[in-house]
Amino acid sequence: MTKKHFLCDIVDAEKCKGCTNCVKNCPTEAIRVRKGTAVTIEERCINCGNCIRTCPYHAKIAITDPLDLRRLREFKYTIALCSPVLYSQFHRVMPPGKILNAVKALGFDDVFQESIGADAYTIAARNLLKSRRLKKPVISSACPAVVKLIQVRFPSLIDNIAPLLSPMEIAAKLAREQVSKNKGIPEDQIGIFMITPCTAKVTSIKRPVGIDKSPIDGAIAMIHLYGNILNALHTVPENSSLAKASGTAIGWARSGGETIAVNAPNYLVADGLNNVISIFEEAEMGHFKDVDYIECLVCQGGCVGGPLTVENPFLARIMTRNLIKKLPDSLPQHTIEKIENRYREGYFHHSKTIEAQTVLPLNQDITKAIQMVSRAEEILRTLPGLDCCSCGSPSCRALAEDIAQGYASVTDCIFKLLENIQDSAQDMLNLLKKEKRIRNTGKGSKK
Amino acid sequence: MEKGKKPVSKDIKHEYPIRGMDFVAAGEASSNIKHTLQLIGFAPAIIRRAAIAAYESEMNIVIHATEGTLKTTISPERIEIIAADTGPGIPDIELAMREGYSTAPDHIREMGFGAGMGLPNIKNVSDEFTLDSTFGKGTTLKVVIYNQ
Repeated sequence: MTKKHFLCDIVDAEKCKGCTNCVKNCPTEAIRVRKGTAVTIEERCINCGNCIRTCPYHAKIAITDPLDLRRLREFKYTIALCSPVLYSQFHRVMPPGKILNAVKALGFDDVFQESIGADAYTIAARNLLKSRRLKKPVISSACPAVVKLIQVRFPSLIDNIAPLLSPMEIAAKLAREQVSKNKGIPEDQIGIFMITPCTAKVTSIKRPVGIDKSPIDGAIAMIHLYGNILNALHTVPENSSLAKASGTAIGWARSGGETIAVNAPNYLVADGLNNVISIFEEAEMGHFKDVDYIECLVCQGGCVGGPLTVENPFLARIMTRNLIKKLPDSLPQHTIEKIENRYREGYFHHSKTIEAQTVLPLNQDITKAIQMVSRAEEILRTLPGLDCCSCGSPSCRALAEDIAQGYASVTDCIFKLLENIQDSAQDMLNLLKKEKRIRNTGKGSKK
Repeated sequence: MEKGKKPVSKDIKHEYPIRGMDFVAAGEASSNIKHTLQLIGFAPAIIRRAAIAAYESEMNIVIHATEGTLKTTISPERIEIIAADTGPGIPDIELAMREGYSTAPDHIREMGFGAGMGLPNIKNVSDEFTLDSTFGKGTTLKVVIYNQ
């Protein structure tokens, strides 16, 4: 059986101090500290990468392809697929053609822009909104962590997700097809590697949603490759033929960029996981009937705030804005027409439906689950309510739920433990006093 | 069940006090109700209906009443929500059930509440809907959603 879930990170047990920083910062309460080490409850994890970002000991490691790029040798022809976030990671605005050429120089046969996928997605989404067959509001499928969040926590919104491949998947599909056609290389001998600022993308390559197999073969964390790119930038010239995507598509690197591109009449943009969650809570209540399009990105500021980036996301945002001012707004007309034809063929659509992955229930048997909830509530009333996290669960409520399920015990709470110790100390004291009394009365009777 | 053991209750009851015009805490009761239903593991569609019923009745108390309570009884078969308040009561229930009809004052409507959809929405999502109101005294709304 293949596992339904896949974690984008692992814990380095030697580095992990069990400090609970990741536990407290996990938006889906997926992490616990047990026996001094952080453990992730896989089915709750949406791969947002917050734990990687917040771990002060760098014990959380993103699982990406190794830096020595040894997997490139498995393929006859290799393509680096570059996130538009990459262009914003250097202290000055540089033409994308130069940065792309630097990536290519690291050992790839070719380099493609993920933003070509965003250009195609823009056209597909516009057509989708015109069709009026979709449930409103349409929620963009571009952020894989958002899609996973909906599967895990908001399954009633699954029908609102745009049934489109993500820009990354579209770009990879187009790149593979184009290279195969132009160079006569069989599609399965082409290896496509995503240079990613995002952990959720790593997971969506291993466990794609809406398709059976991802068109991408591997992922390399942008932050891991950064030094190499920086070095290569000194030597390589610009190659403008590598940079074909429009400025508008590159603008997707920051939140709001997608909305500007899609240009829906009534839209909503939210970034940062907690904001996204509150938007979905409202959407579930049916509060957004007038909204056509929702762009939600779990990272603050959008993809420029990704956990595998180098540059400060606010600076990266400005860099993105300054760069796209210098680029054309849209693709040439004949390319747009080609993309529209492709859209009508269903080239950009999901090939299967997205499934719910609800994980919250305490028990499969509803009667037992109700008893467990009652029990958890009883336990919660006895806990101090400080949400101090010392027990390894993110809050007193979460600990109560963990205890009810048998995953933790009341004495994991240091305050309850202290109470217990004090109680037993008192008991011992009472016993000693009693014994002394008996001894004393024994002595007395001898007299 | 083994003999001599106390029978375990099959349902779970909660009571949430709600205060009129308390927009600070508004929505908390219904979000707690939703969390409980998710923990128990009801189907998403059932949770959505119950969450809408709970939220709209909570907001009705906040907007219209002086104070009230939201009482829930959750069992494997059904979810019951009773919203009882002391407040102005509803003079004409038939009129109040019409979509778009609202007695909410202008300053409330300006905030986006009181669109006259609350009661009709609750009725739409519920299997049983009983509304009792005494003009000048208060209102009791009972909603049942079956788990099927």
